[in-house]
Amino acid sequence: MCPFSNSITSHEILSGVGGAPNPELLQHDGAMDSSRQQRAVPDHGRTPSLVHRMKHDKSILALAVSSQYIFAGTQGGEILAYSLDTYELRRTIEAHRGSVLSLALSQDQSLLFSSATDPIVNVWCTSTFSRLYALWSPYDLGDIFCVAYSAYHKTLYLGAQNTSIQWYDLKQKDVRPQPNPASHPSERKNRFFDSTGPGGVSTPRPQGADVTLRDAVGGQYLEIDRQDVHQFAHYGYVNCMLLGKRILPEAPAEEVLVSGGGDGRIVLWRIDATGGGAISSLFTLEDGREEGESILSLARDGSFLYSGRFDGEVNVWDLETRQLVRSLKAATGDVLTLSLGGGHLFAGGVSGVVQKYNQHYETVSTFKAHEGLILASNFTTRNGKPTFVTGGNDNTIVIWEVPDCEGRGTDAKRSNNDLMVESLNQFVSFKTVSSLPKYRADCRRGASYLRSVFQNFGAATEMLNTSEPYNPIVFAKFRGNPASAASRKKILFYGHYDVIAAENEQAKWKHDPFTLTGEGGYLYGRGISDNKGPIMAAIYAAHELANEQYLGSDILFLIEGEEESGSRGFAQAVKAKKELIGDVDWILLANSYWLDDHVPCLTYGLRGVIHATVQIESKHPDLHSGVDGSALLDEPLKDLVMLLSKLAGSHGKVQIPGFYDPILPLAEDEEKLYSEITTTLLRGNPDLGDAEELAQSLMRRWREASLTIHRFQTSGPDNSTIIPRLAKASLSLRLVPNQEASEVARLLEDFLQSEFFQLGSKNSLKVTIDHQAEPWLGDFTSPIFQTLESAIMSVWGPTLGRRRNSVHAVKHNLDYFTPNPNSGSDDRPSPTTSNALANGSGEPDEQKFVAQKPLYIREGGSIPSIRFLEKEFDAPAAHLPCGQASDSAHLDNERLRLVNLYNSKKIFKKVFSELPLR
Amino acid sequence: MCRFMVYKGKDEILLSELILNPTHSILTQSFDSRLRLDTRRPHNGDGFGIGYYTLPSLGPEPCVFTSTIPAWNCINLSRIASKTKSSLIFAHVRATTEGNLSDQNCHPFSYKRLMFMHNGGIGSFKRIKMKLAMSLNERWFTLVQGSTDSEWAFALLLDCLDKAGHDPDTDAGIGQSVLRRGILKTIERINALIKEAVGRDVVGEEDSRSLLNFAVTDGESVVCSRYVSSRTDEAASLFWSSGTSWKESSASTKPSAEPGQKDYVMERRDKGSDIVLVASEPLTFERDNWVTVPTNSTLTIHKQTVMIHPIIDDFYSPNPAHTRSAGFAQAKGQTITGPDKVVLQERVNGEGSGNGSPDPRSKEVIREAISRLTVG
Repeated sequence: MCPFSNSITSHEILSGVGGAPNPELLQHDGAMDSSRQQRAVPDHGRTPSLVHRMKHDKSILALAVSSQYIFAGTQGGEILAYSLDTYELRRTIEAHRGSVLSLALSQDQSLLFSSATDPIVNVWCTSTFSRLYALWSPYDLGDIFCVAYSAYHKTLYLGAQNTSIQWYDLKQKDVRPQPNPASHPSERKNRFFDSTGPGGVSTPRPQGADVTLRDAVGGQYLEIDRQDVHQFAHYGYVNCMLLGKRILPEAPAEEVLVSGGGDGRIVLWRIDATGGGAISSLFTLEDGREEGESILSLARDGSFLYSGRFDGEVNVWDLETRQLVRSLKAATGDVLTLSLGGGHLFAGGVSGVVQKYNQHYETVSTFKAHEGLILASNFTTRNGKPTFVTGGNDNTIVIWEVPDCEGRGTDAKRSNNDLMVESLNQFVSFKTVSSLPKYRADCRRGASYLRSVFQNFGAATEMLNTSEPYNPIVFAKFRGNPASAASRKKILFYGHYDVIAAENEQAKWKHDPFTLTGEGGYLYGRGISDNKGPIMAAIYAAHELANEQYLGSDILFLIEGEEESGSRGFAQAVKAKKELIGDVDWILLANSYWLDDHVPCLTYGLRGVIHATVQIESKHPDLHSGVDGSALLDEPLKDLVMLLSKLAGSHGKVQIPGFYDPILPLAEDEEKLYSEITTTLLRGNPDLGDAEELAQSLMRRWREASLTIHRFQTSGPDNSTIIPRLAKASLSLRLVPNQEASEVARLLEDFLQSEFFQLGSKNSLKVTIDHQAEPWLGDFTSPIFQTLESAIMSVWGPTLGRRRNSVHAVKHNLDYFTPNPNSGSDDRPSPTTSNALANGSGEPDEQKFVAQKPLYIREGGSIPSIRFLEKEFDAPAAHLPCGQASDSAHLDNERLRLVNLYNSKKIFKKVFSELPLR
Repeated sequence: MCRFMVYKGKDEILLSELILNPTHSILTQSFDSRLRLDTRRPHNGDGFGIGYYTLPSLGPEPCVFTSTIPAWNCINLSRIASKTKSSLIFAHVRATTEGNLSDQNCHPFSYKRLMFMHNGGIGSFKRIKMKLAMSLNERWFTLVQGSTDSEWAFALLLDCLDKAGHDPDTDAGIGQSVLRRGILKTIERINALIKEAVGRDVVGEEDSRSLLNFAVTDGESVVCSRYVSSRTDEAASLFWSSGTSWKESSASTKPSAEPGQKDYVMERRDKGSDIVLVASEPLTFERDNWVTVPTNSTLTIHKQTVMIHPIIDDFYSPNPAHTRSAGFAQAKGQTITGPDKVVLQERVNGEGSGNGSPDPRSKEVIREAISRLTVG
């Protein structure tokens, strides 16, 4: 997707980091097909870039953005509150019985007003999300299309389907008599709806009409006075309103209400402060057209007013002369929303396209933002970052970054978190797939990009070459404060920039795997969680500390490019450059996952692995079984099957003599860790079953060795009459401490050879050890784990309650959890796979529980380098899992939650600064 | 008094989705109309009609299908409705107030591309009929085939358009503002004729108040009126609903009262009005879907935009809290006139016209009913 990816130069790489970001490289809205066409036209960074996308299951009709939250009104009557920091859904407010049509914030952002197709206007507290007031009209007003609130007059205005504008002076709320409960719109007797049919029976209310909404309860009931109504404010629906000062040139201090209607008129209203906020028409903006050319949207900038109409018409009105100054023709279709900000006008509409204008009303860019209609938009500048938000009937909310905004010069500060995501955005775009030779160049580019990131942050770097053709290792060193030079400790961070292949031929990825895409609080992309995200978090943590002059130790980085391919050449290269790397006090890596999606973990053990190929070959060529098949012939495949059958007994027990001997018994404090894990997991997911069984299944995978036969391969054509000349099988053994990989490999070879000998076959056996990695067991009571634990607790907080999830949380298949009904007398634990743990998370669950500490876990997988580094540098290692169980590392749609990324950076920062003090 | 319904959509809809299937479809309204007080004769069984515009290739005129049998008994109606789609549909079920049972008297009426229907009645019609007829150009006078006040109102509307310089013969659309002015002029002329005929002594054996709920379309725009020539009475009921799709309610699991009927909802996925429905009575019992058309106003549907204009004349009140009595319109609903019909005196008498000495019990009943009805 990156236009420069074929010919990237160091200059271009550098320009993407730190200083002025290279806008072309920042493009990552690759999720949209049409945006690709857009990309063809070089627009020099004027097209806003897609930062994040939040998916819902219903149309998004209204948006309001506060300093903390994005509020979105949906077709289902909900108001969604997303964090503006992490884009996580913080709350789903069940607010209305029908589509939420309008949201407005009070000036101080303490109140949120919502209107919908039900005849109630709700007023919410933006900190507690509770309802403060429920307000209704005594009249039958239909849908309430818009609300506006005057903080100055403390008066709320609403514009409705029945052409009226009505208002309520909140100053009077306690003075006016309390409304009769019978006047509530759903209690009112209606001469039609409560009428009786033949037989004197009234028609029951349709189902769903009496459903009580979870959040639309409580608060004070307010009824609009029968006279606080302006009938026929428009001769059409009152589609939109805005309210502000400096609208009237002759009275800039006066607050004026502006409304646009289905009749095609824009009316400016004087607010009578003494008359309870009553409005009277000041003047009407008209362009002499026939009625009915609806005003669909309004926006104002000083004395200029913009109105959106059908077929992409955007009008510019001068409020001083009350004239139509210009009419623009946007490619948006009916202009359903207009937003102003950063010196730009954004128009969005039916075609899903946003057209961006500058102050001279020239089109700066046009881009596809939604697959359906764009129904709402908002512009906000937060921490100096101009942000544009759109919502549409494709059920999504999209956050856009607008890079070329006014007043965003050098002084505009961008948060490190944003820069970190930006760096990741580029890092992920390099297809650093180590297993496929065609990506060798991409791997190199990725490595040199990574190096440039270090260089930009002032780290000393070097590229450590491995034996050709393997990918180089990036080495970097952040020096601690010179003051502490003598006693400076050294922390080595180990990671890998290579990734598992993601060809996406079956299009199972929601987005291009090598285009970082933000969605629903997560970043999606190959390698984001394994291991590029955690690497970047560690780099930024070191950089921030160095910047703040708090770096009391040296932080070394060894980021290799062959981890996913068995760390080819790593050990040799590190050994060769040991001088350069120097001494190391601690080793840290971040290349695994939590057990579920909620409770942070620390990994203190990994299994080792041996990959072996067993091959049996005969002297004959491939033969035909009808012609040559006989008891006299030793068939290689038959031999192989007989041989392999000796390896494992029933229930997976490995039959290699001495295989289990070195394995450590279960210590008491270790057992305690397992019970902590099961208690925590079961509290969150009672469906996981019995605690003892769960602990057993975890132990089987973490602290017990295992053997797997992966596949058979045979020579000759693939049909059922061939006696293959050659047969081979791939198998692997997962090892646990204290099994030495080389020792087990020797045992395996000896065992196979002796068993083969007993077969008395004329064929020949060849056993190859393709790869081996040592198991690793850290000391979870050591200072490095203690430091990590306290950092995790201070960053994630002591209460790791599950937040109430959104209503539309994906329902996972829970079948995994149900113990196998056929297991019957079999007392072996049913296999609770890693999948089950990941899938079990994310279910809506109201209960909260407290996990005081991170869970200490082990993993069934292997990272070859960790034990090697421990041995080589004689330093203890610790492993911090950054991602959640549902991150889908190595799978399609790999992702990392933004909160995890941000918090991982915080944890690294704490560890980097606190560990040396231990 | 009759019931009618208008559909104007961005897309075509199957007639049965409006006419047959909804819980309170126009077909249901023909035997179960709720906003009439008459429990003995609640039927709109004096014929019905549907009119809809077809593919432009078949010409600009609407297809109109009327019958004098009750809608609920017409097997052809359900056959046609479940296989016909249109984006602009008029439907009408009739309870005669004027004119007898005949095909010519069934709404909707059409002329070239114009289509018209009426719910209500012209006050003192017998006293103004001749003057009305005489005021028309000959081509509109000769157009009238039947004997209803409604058809004469249509002729009057055509005359108004003609005299304002908009020939109804034109192949092009007439346009929403011309249609609206035509309706206003028609109402104005009816009022003037009545005023001239009855003078100041308004109340007599025949009521001079008119209930003029008209619907007219040129095949593109629709103008409906909800009107009563009184300051104190409410007009005959008229509701509208707009949204993005007309869908069978997914929440509907209960068996409905009538076989084949379903709960429908007007969905709103965006703020547009892709579908606009206007009806004498809501087609569903979804409260939040239906809005009352203000008394004495016109509702215009133009390019899927709904506009509402007040009809400002002697009978208009600018006060939003102005209350009107629903008694007259309801009483009209049970007033049956015509040579073969008897006026149900005992329940109508006194309300509205204020004469006679009704027995106190029935007056009480009506007063209660009215007070119950005016709350909403």
